[in-house]
Amino acid sequence: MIRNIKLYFSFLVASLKRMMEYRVDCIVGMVSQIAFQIIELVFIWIIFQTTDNIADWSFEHLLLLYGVMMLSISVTDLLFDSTYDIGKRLIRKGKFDTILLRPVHPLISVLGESETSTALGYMILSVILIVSMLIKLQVSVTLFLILKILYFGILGGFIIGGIQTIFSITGFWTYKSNEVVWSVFQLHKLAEYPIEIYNKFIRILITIILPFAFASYYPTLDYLGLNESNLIFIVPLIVIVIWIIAINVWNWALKKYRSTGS
Amino acid sequence: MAIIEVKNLVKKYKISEKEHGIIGYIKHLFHPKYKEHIAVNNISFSIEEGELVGYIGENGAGKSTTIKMLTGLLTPTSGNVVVNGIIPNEERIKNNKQIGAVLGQKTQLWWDLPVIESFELIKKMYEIPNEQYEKNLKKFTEILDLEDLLDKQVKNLSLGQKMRCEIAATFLHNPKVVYLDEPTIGLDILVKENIRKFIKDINKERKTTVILTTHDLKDIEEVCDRIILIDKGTIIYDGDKENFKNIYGKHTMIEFIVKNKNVNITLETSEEEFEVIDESDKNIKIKFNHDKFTVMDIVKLISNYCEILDIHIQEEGLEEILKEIYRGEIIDD
Amino acid sequence: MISKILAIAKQNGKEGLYYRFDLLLYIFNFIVEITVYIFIWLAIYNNGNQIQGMTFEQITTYYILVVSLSPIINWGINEIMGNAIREGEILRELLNPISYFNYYFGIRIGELIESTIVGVLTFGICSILFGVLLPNGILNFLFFIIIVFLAVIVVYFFELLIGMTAFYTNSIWGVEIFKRAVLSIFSGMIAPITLFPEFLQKIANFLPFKDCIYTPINIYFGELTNMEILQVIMKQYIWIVVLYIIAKIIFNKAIKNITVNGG
Repeated sequence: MIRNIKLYFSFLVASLKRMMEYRVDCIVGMVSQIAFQIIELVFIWIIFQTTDNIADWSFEHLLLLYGVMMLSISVTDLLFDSTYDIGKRLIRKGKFDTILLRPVHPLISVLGESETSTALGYMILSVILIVSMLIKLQVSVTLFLILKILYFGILGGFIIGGIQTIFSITGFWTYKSNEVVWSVFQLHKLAEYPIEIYNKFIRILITIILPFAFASYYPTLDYLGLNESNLIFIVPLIVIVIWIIAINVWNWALKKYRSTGS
Repeated sequence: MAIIEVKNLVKKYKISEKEHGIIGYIKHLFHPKYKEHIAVNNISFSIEEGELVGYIGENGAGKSTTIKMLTGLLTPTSGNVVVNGIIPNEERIKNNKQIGAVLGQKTQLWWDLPVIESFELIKKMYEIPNEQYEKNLKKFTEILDLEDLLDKQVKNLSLGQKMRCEIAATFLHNPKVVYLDEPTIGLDILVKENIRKFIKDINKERKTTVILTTHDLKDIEEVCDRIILIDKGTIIYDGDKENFKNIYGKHTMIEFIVKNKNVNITLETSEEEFEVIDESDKNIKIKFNHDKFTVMDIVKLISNYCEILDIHIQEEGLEEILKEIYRGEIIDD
Repeated sequence: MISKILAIAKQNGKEGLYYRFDLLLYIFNFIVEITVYIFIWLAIYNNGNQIQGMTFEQITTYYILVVSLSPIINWGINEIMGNAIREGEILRELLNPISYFNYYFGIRIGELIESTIVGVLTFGICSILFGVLLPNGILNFLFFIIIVFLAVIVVYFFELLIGMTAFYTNSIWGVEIFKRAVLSIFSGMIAPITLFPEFLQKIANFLPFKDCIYTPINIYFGELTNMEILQVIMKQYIWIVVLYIIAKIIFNKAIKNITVNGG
């Protein structure tokens, strides 16, 4: 286990080095990610021209929630970005065979190939949003709060990354860039807004079935001191459960893949 | 005990039969039809430690499927593979530590990184002790002439440079068994020779078992002692390389340098199992079955027509023999 | 010439059909997007707010139409062209026995069939899920379709223009972002333009993109008089001519540069 984690980081460092080779693409990716998010922020800003709250969340609250989600996404992007196109990048070209021949679990190799230029964009934006909104909302920014934000940001990244990894196995059969993963990932948008606005079905979807809300909504409640249900404490548990499922699903897919070949 | 033991190995594929168009697609969705294809049909062999085995056969004969099962990439439909006491398919990662593999053009190196960094990652992956790593690196650098390549990015290397690095990467962790699938494809002669020499050296020094599949039979002639020939999923020959030639290589080529030739020998002779391949005023090339004729027979025959200045005798090479086997000219008995 | 365009269109539509599975996923993505919008607006209406005289049903229909129209209006020739220019493909494409603009317009028309299917399916599924208002009369619906088709042409030339920046810059992505930002804000994709602050409304009125999403939806609701609709159509024709001329001039100049300097 320790050995695997160490190797994962060695691979990741290699990926980051590789990313540095394409500095211009990196900056473009970063800037464009920020731009995309700003379009979304313009939307929020426009709706607040007509109202002063959404389900009792003010403009500042909403931006804070948005920033918290961005932080989780940036972690996902940085650490687990490489699963969505395994079909096209690895399986179809047979490159996956070389990964299977390594003395490491293939999931470690695949996840270690994560290289994303958008992560930095998300991160910058999330830091700006979180810090400025906390100040505006007059929440006292203590060291403890900062550590908490980092802690839940990383765990949130693991939640979303785990969900992506589970669905990434479809790449073993589609041989293409995996729109399934992308679609599932898109569901995180639902958790960029307070879950009070949704009906029961969507609430269950983003808290129990695909617990995106634990990467944004519940931590935000906690930072705002509104955490009445203490649901925040099950976040580490959720991470563990999701990753156990992810690893098992992957092992199952590997077994299938090896009995049919490519 | 043999290092590789293969018993009654079978691999069947299901191939889905799809009709064209949307209607066919929908039909397939509800009522899938499959055709069974037997890629490897009940093969058995065992390989001793330190052997250099050439695994040959035409495209689609089942070579890659076998290699994939030996490496644990593919689960056999039935039968057993044991490599150094490990069933590759069941203990894949453990098996991976003791083997090395080159799979054609698929690189195990990191494309955008300098070669040396890929080596460092491999060192970490295989947990190669420092001392061994340094020693191997130094040695491989010398034999494969990698000195100037180590700091270059893999993507900037030529095909030959890349393969040299690839080979080095494969042997860094002192694997017990190495599978080389088409390691010389597309390379120029000097690089090919370099790689062949490397394989032979390492084999001699460490008793590394090597299984080589290739289209270039010169690789096999120069590197391997043993040949396993597979055709349509079954092994049709397994044994010594020289013996293989004796059994299947029924022809000898003989070339005469002559003068004062005044007749066309092609027209004069009409023997079976005797063929004039090339003829000019100064030169005659003949291919004959050495079961039927001796070299002396041919020399006598030719001396009837002209004065012989020089003779070259050439045994049939692997390549020609295989061509004849594939064409069905040699019937197995 | 039309037949050539149609031939290319047919070929492309056929290829596209093989991506049915992706198609469903696209629709799924649109539904996710719209779900967010609709629930946010629902929360706002639940506060008892009245938004610029729009009812909740109208705003729901507005967003359903936005997500259904967006695959039809947007295409992405700028990216295709950008890559072709960057990789030198464009020289081969210039050898086609049909002009570059027409060639890609043909492909666009073929793709339009597919994206229309996506759009209609999205509309159908969303109207079942969320409920939708029907168009205000057949005539308005016909005008709606005409204006959307003209919008497709306007956006096509706009994307061509954007794509041509690849002659001068390597940043295909950056330009793509710029395009999306402009389109999604000023066409009214993110919200009805009447809700915008004054200065944004002024910019939107000046640009052609408002008539690609916002105006047709308002025609669908029956908010415009026939006279106003005719004015919109005239405006679109003018924009098409203007954009075409600009694109042609830049393209010819750039091609001359390439063929003279050898890329």
